[in-house]
Amino acid sequence: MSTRTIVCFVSVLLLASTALQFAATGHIPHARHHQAVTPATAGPFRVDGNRILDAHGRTFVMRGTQLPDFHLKTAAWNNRGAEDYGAHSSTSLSAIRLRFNMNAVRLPLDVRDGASPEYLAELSRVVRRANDLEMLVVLAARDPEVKLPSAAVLDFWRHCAAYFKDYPNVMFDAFSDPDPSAIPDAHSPEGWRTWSGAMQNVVQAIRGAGARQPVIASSWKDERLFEGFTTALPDPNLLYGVSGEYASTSTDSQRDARFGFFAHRVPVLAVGWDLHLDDAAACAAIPQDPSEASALIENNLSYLDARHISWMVSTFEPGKLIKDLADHDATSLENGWTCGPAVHRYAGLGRVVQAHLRSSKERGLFVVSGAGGLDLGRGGFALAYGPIMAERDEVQTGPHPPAKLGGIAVHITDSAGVTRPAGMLWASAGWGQTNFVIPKDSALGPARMTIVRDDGSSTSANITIVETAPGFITGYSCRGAVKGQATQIFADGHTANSPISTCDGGPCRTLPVPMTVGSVTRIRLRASGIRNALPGAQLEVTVAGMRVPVVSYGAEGDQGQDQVTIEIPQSLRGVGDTDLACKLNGRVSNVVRIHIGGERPLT
Amino acid sequence: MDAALWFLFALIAVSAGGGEAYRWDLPKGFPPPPVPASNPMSAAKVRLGRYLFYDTRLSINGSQSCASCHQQKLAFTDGRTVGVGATGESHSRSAMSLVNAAYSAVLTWSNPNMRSLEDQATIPLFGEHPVELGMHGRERELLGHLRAVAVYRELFPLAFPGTRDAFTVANVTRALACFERTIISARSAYDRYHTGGEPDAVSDAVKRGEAVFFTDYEGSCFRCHGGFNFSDAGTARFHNTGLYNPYPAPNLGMFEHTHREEDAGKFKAPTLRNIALTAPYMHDGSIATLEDVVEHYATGGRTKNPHRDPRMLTIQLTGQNKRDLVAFLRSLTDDELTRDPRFSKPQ
Repeated sequence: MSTRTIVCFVSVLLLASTALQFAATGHIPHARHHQAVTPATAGPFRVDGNRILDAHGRTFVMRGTQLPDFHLKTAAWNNRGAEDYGAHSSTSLSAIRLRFNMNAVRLPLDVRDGASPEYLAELSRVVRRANDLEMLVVLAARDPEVKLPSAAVLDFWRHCAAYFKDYPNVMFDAFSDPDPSAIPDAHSPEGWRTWSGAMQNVVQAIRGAGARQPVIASSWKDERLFEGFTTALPDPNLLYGVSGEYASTSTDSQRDARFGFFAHRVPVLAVGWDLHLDDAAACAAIPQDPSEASALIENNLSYLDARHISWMVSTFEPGKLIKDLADHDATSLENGWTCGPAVHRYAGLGRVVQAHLRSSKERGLFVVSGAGGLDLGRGGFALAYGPIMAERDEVQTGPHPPAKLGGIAVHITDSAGVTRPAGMLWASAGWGQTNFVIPKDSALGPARMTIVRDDGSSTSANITIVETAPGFITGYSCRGAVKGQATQIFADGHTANSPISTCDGGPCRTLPVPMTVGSVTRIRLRASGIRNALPGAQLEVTVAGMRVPVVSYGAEGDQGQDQVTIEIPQSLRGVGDTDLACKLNGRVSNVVRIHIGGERPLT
Repeated sequence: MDAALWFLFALIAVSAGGGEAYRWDLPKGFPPPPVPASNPMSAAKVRLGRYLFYDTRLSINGSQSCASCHQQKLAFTDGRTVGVGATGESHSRSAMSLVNAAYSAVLTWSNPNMRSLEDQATIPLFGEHPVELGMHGRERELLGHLRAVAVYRELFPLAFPGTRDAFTVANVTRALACFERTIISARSAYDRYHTGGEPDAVSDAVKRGEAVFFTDYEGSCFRCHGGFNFSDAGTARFHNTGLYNPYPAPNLGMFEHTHREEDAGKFKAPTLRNIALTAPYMHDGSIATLEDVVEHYATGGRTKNPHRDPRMLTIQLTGQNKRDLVAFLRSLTDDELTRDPRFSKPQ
C-alpha cells in the first residue's frame, strides 16, 4: 500500500508532550480557508426560502457522497471478515464522516426490491448507523424500468415514508431519474407540467404516509437539468435535485442556466456527479493533465459552495470516491487516468474532494486525530501524513518524546499565536507519516501545524485544537481491531488478563474477549482525545449497538494516549466480531472492531 | 608532551593547512562537508587545485586533464558512455559527476574502500588498468613540468607554506581534492521550491513527480537517492538494480573488492542533482535517456538478477508517474553550476 495514504499506525510508543513554550509569533492564522468539521446533521429539517434549516434553526448544507444501491442481499456483506468492511458498514460510514468530513449520504433504493418489513428493517439499520455518525441519509427511489414515477414508486414510498417518518435525519429523494424521453419536449412548459404532476404525486404519497421531512424532486435526467423550469411545486418542504447528467465540464454560465438560476430561491442539491472516467463519451472533455482535471473538480465544488448548494459527489465504492473498501483511501487523478476502460483502477476525484473538505491541498499535509477526524484534542496524539520528508525513518524510543526526530520538528501555533514544539513519536522519510503530541497548553481553536526540517524547508497545515476528540486506537488506519486489554474478574477475586487484538503475523485482527459465565469482564481500551473530558462528562460507549457501562476514563500515562475502561454485560456474550464506538459530549468517535467471545446466552 | 613534539604537530598542521582558513558558502540545508584533518581546506589550495584540474600537463601526452572527463557544462561528466583516457584506452565505466562529491562517504562506482578524494585522485593520474592520464612512473616528470610554470611557483608555496618543497605528488592530490570539495550544487529550480520559499519555481508536474519520488511503493526513489544530495553514498551503500544477470566482467561492482557473491552487481547510487546533464546513465552508460532509466526501474530492472535490491520489486509507476518523475529529475538541474566562474577553467 502506498504511504500516500492515511496510516494511523500507533504501534509506536506514545509518550508525553513536554510542551515548551518558546516563541510568540502573533495571532493565528488568518488562513484563507480555515479547516472546520462539516456541521453534523441535526434534524428535523425544514425549508425556508432557499435554505435548509435544522432543528436549531441553523442553515444546513449537505456535503456528502452516494452509497452503492441497497439491497437485502447486500446488507449481509457488511464487515466481511478480512475482505473489507462493506459500503454500508459503520466502519465505512465512520470513514465518510471522519476522514472525508462529510455530513450526508445518499442511499439509492430499487423500488422493485419491495417494501417488505424485512427490507425496511434492514434498511433502517443502515440509516441508524449513518445517523449515529452524525450524517443525514437521503433515501432515493429508483425504478429503471419507468420514465416517470410509477404506481410501484408511489406504493414504495407509502411504505418507506411511513416507516421512516419519525427519523428526523432522513430525507426522501422522490424519483432519481426522470427520463426526458417521456414527453416530446421535456423542457417546454408542457414538459415541466408533466414533470410537476408526476413529482407531486410522489410528494403526496410521502406526505400521505405521515412523513414531514424534506423531499427532493430531481430534474429531468439530461444535461439541461432544470432549464425552462419556472413554477415551484406547492409543497413547502422541498429541495430540487440535479443529478445524473450534471456535467463536470460545464461552465458557470451553463450551470447558471441549468439550475443555478433558481438556487437563490429554492434549496438545490447536486447529487451523484462524477467524472465518469469509464464513460468515453462523458469524459472526453475532461483535461488529460491531472492538475487541470483537479482544477475542474475544484471549480465545480467552488461553484456549488458559493451558492450554498448542497452536494453529494461520486459514489463511495472502489474506483469512484475510494480505492477499496478495506483501506478507504481516496482515489486520485495524480497518477493519471484514461477516458474509457480503466488502465489502472485508482483514478478518481476522491482526493480532490477530500482535500476540499479539509481545506487542504491535494498534495498537502493531512492532519488527523487518533480517530482519523479533523479535530485534535490538546495533549492528545495526532498524525500527519503527506510530505513529511524526514531525513530518515525514526521512532521515539526514549522515556520522553523529543522535540525533534529524524531531522524534523513539529511546531504548533495556536489560536493565541503561541508556537510550541510538539512531542515527537514517529517521523518517516519521504512521503509518509509523522505522529506527535499536541502540546497540552495549546489554546483551543484554529491553529497551524508546521513541519520544520533540518534542511531549512518547512510544510504547514491548518488544524483545529479542541478539548476532546474521542477516538479509539487501532493497529492500522484508525479502523479495524481496537487495541486494549480484557480483564476477567472471577467470584473468588482472582483476575485474568488477555489482549483483545493482535497485529502479529499479518493484518491486525481481533482476539476473542473471554466471557466466562459468572465472571465480570472489563476492557481497558486504548483511546485518544478523551483526557480532558470533565468528571461527569457524557461518555457513551456502545458495543454491537448496545450501550455498555463505562467504568473509568482518562489519560493513560502522559503519552498522548488515553484509556476508556468498559464492562461487557453477559447479554453480549458470544456476539462475535462487532462494532465498538463512543460519543463524548455528543461527538462521535471512529468505529472500531472488537470480538466478544463466549457462548451465546440461551435466552 | 615535550616542546619538540608540539613543534612537530604544529609544523604538520601548517604544512597541510595552506594559509588562511577556507570559508564555506554553503547552501541552505547543506551541512559542512567532512574534511580530512590531514588536508584542511584553504583558499590557496582550492585555487591551486582549480589550476591543476584544468591542466593537461597532468597527462602523459598533454592531451587531457581532469576536466576532460569532468566537464563543467555537463555537471562534471563527459557525456560519453564510458571514459576514454589520454592514450585512447577506454575505461569500463562512465565518468562520475564530481558535483557534491565532498559529501560522498565512498568514491568511484563500487569501491567501498575508496573514501578520500585525495586517494581517489591518484587513480586517474597513475592508474594503469585502464590508463587514464597515464602518469604512472612519471611522477618526477610531472612535478618538473609544474615547477616550470610561473603560476604554480606562486601557488604551491602559498597553498603549502612552511615546507621545504611544496611540489609533491601528495600536494597535487591534496589541492585537487580541496578544489573538488568546493563543487557544490544546490541552486536548482527544485531547491528554490523546496527550501527557497518559491512555491511557483517548479511546475505541477514536478510537484507530482516529487511525490512519486518520495513515496514508498510508487517511485521509492528516495530510499537510495535520499537526503539533500539525492544519494545514499553518504552512508556508503551499494545496490544491484538488475541491470544484468550476471553482470559481465570487468564490471562486477562491489564484488571486485569484497569477492562476496551477493555483492556482484552492486554499485553506488550517485547523486541525482543535475542528472539531466549527465547522460548516458548507469555505471556503464548503458541507458541513454532519463525516460529509459525510469522505465528500467518501473519494470523492476531489466533482468531478474537474484541479488537485485528488493526495493526494485516494489516500484509501481503509471505512465503519468513516469512523465512526472522525469519532470522532477529535470528540476534538479543547477544551471548556474555549469557557468559558475569559481569552477571554470582559469584564464
